[in-house]
Amino acid sequence: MQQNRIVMGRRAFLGATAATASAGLLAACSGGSEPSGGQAGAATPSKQTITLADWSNGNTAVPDAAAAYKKKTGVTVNFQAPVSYDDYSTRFRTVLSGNNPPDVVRVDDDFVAQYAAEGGLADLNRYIKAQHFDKDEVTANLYDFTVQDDGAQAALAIGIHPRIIFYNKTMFREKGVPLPPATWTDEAWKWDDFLAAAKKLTDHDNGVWGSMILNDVGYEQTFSWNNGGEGTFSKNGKKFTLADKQGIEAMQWLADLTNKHHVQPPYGTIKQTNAPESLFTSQKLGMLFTSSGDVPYFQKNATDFEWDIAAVPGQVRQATAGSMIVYAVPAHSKRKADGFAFLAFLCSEEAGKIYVDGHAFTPANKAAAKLVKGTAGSSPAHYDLLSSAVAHNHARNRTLASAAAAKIYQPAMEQVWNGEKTAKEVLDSVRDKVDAALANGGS
Amino acid sequence: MLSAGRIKKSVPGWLFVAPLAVGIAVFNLYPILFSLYTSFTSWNGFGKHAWVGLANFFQMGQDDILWKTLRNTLYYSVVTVPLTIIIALVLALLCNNARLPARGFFRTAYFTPFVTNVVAISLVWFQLYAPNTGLIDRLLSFFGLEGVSWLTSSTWAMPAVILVATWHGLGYPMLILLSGLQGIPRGLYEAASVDGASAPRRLFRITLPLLSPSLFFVIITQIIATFQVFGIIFVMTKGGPSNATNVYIYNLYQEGFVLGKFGYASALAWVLFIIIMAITIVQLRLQKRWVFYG
Repeated sequence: MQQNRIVMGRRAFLGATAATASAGLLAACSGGSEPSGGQAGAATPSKQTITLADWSNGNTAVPDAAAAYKKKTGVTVNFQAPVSYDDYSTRFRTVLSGNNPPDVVRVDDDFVAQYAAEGGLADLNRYIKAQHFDKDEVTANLYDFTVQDDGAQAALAIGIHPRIIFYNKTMFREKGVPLPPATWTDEAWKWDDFLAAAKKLTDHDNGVWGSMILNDVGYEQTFSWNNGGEGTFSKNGKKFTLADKQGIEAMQWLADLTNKHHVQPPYGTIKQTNAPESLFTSQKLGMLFTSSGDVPYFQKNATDFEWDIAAVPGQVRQATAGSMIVYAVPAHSKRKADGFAFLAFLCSEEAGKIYVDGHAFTPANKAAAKLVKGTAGSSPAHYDLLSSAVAHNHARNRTLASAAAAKIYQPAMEQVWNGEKTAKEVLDSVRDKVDAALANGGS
Repeated sequence: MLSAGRIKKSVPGWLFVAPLAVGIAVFNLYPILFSLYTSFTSWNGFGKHAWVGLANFFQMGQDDILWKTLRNTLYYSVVTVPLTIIIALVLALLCNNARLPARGFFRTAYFTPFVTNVVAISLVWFQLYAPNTGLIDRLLSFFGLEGVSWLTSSTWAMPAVILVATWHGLGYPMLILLSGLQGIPRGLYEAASVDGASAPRRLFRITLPLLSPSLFFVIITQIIATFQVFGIIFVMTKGGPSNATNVYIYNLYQEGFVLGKFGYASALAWVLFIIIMAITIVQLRLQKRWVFYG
């Protein structure tokens, strides 16, 4: 009898263990209560404190702008405790699904259309009209980037980090390599020129790599577009054009930098935390493709040598896909007008000057963008190149299923980067699946 | 019908359990039921739930990545569970040996990784696995061997992750097995020795049979844990390369929190719940054949 009781107790205990462990798993997928679905209140702002959610970054430009905003209007902007970029999509969906979302949220520029289509972002047109926001003060292609097919203004881009080439000027001189052009031109700065420079800079005995591009996923759009293709996605957002001939060639060229020419570190090294920054600052990297958002970091940390910025190398074209700094007002925010008022300030000349002074990013505000100058006597000497970069910006075409598409093709592409497969093999194999995901909007 | 007196007598009891009951209801029961409801809907977290019936469950049949993650999870579990338990058993036997000096130190040392944050551990191992510059590749090159891209190779990424998971998870089963070993009466060993039983014979005829309840518990909890692995994958590989380390829970996380398909993610969670329950029930049935409760 006692034996039976013990066995039953143990069973119950083990069953409970399994159930409890699984319960946590199940609970993790519940999202809390539904949003209240409250309608927008007044279209004009009040003086209430607003909250803002952003991912963690070393950039203080927006907090600085918030301080200026408080000085000007008396309105306090509370910044929610940030999470890393990698965790931000989790935070984003969680806070927006609750009943009390922040009034302003940072949005990954790749997913604006998707979040807007899902109903997560407020249409700002009402506030643009009521608060007399002058869109002509903002660079047109940045303003239009967040306009949706139905005319809704889902967000505002307050600035842009153009993707450029950072290069170690001291290393170039020491190895007798011609410097990249100082202006936005691809004269003597085609892919072959870039590769030739990378080969001369590479010194395996001393652990020096000539180039690194695969650290920043902006390579997809930038290099496939510059090779004459449509970029990652077709203009209507329904086709996976990275798998076109031009895209395949471009991706294979990038993979060959590592696996054929050995002028780019192995993919495993590139994936290491802060590898691009640490290799560049320790003078183990000659050229780095990344966004201008790294300028303040390198100004602070790459002080033992001279470095500068240059345009991305051209091929059929010479454009760059910048990383836009986009903020939006959640559809269920209770203070949409207040949130938009701050957003409008972030797009103003006054805020733009703060971004320029801190070398944070190139402002969307046209007047402020004109203030971007070179940094005579310190790196990067050709900081003013960023103005040209904005003019040569060609963003990835938007889709309603960018995340779903990326989930299919980006893991597969890792076999290209590590040399296990060719770009053609991988992109051919995933093309139909990505097209299907794009066609049905990722659902 | 309860009498007024009995109801009155039971009130203090209910008041005592109320805080816990409310906590469980709010933080466990409600989310579980909400998840069950969500699994029959389409919901992106922003708008209203749209009832879709069993569509989320049917969708799993066409989800190639899901099947890949199931295979990966099985691979991870089938290798990690025996590896962890065998090593934990060996360590427990060593730490149970009275002749081993500094036993307390070794017990603590082996248990320490288990109580260390999995993110911190994963980040450290991420650096150890770094191609060329990582400690592992440097050690290999010291012996004239060429390193591999541990975490970016489709072949090596999962074994590399399993190694970390095994090292991290050793402490808990070791402690359980050690406590099981210490519950075995010494007299049995003395009697066996007097009868001339060799050490291996004592291990297989006395130790393992009497340790079987502890082993059974460890196997069940380890299988559940390996089916829910997430932290190490999230930090070290993000499921890559090419989904080679994409496991069930990481895929579930991506479907829910990256793609915003909370309905589908909830359905995945319930299917995993059923899988784990099924495996546990089978183990409970099979235990009669090998677990000896003395």
